[in-house]
Amino acid sequence: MKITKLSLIALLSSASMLFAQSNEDRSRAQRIDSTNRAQGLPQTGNSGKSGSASVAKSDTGAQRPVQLRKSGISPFLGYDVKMVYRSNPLASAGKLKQLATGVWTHTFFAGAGLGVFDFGDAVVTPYVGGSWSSNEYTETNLQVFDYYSTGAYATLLAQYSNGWSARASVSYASDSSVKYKTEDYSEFYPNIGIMKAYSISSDTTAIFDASLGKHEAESFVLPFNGATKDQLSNWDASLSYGLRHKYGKLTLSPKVSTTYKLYDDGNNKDRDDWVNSASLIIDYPLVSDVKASLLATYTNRDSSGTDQNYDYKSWDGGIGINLSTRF
Amino acid sequence: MLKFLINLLLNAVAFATAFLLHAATAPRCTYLKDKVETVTHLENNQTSISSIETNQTIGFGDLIATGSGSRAAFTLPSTIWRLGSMSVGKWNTPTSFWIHSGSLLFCTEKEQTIQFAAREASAIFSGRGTLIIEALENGGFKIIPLEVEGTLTTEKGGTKDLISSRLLLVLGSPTYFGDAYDIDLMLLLKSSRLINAYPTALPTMGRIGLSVYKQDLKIRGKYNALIGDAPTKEKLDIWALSTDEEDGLDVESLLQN
Repeated sequence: MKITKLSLIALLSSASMLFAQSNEDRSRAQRIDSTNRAQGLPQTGNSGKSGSASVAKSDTGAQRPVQLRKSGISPFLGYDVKMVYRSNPLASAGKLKQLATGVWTHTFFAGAGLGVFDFGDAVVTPYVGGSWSSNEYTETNLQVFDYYSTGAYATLLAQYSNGWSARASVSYASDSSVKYKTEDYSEFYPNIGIMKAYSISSDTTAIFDASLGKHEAESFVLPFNGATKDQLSNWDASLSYGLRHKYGKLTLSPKVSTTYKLYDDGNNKDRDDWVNSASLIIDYPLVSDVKASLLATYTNRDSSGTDQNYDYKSWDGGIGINLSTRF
Repeated sequence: MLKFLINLLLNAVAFATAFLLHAATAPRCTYLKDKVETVTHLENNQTSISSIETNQTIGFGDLIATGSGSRAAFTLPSTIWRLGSMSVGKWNTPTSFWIHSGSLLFCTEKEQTIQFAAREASAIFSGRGTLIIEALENGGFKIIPLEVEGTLTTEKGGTKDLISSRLLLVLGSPTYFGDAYDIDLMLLLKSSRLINAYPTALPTMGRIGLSVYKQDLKIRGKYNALIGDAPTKEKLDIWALSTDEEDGLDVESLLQN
């Protein structure tokens, strides 16, 4: 019975995947400050190289001292850059490849876990965070659509001992035109979700996720023919299933997801969409807190309920570098 | 004659009940790896050494000894006990275990009051949880809660809340608390044969997983050291990690033997 067959790693995975917290492993040669009372320096009866024999003598296991935060508040920040080929950047109906372009995306993000609250069978952690990114098309004809994105979120995450986690979250997102300096889209997105992560094998963790939310959107529209600012608002319900497979230093993360969206405003009244996607991300750690990624995503939207044809398909593929650190 | 038969029947029922009750409260061996022996003290001041078999019940006061690479698991009502290799210990009562050397895992989902004793030190655990006890060369013991809701009481140190993943030294007679160290729980679990070398999972693995998750949220850094034995009450072996071990301990090599 290997521990890797159990839910431990799955539980850990769930937290780190949700909030991109790095699994830091910083070694510090300092005095351990972990007792309930003051202590002098420990007297060492032996020192030098550990040697497996000395540690393996006992069945207890390796006892490596760690330093813990007293408050449980854990800020993190990072930077992410991606260069992605996008086959259908304007999500136009018809062929898979239309106005294909490369897209540079630079994202800065920061956030913090605001404490760790133990309720016996559950651990609750509030998170807040925000991000800013620039999105630049390499195709000259599309550069008028370059945009900045801003996002912020507040999440309450409860992790249960059975491997399930539940979350309630509200996020804000905004897109503004680089060229015209106008905010073209913004939304509030209150949502709830559940997630279950479990080990399939010693190297593979499966993650099931379900969520439900309401996008309260405002977008720039020309006020003709019944168009309204809130016509992009929608309810959505999503299911996804993914794997995280360790292969040497590589982490392979294939994932499929399906989302149902229901619109009820303006020209989108009675519109409903099915958005299905399949993706693969391969991460490779370059140094501590820095990883390189290969990304590929295929997306298909099947829309109905309106005269306008909103169906589209597209695929993205590219590379990225992610730097993320936790304090 | 009828009265005699009734008395005989009543006595038989009483003895059978007593036997069954004893069997129900006596430690029963549920898993064995290699040879594990028990040493029983006989009435004529002699001892009898025999190999333990699976499903055998162990008498209170009988020593249990494991050799290199041998291990055993036992159950008592609502509790699971695992004795590591190269360990010697005994139950004095269903709620009192004495460990001479080696390591022991204790697991319960229900509130219990258990006395853990070593050659010199002794402490009373009240609560529920999954604990590893390791005997020290100085006659005391380490207690490492993998997940816990409970307290530990010593004669001289009073009562202290146990904290998951915080190793606590229990020393001396009268017994007091020694130093405490937060330790890398995930590494301990990966490298612990008290967890990995048994065919069944502990019923508290979910809670242990939550302890790992909680520690991961709070972890700030790891020291380049491993804690070892304590040859005296004043000394604790701290093994420095070599440079090539700092970024990731070789768990497989720790699991060998």
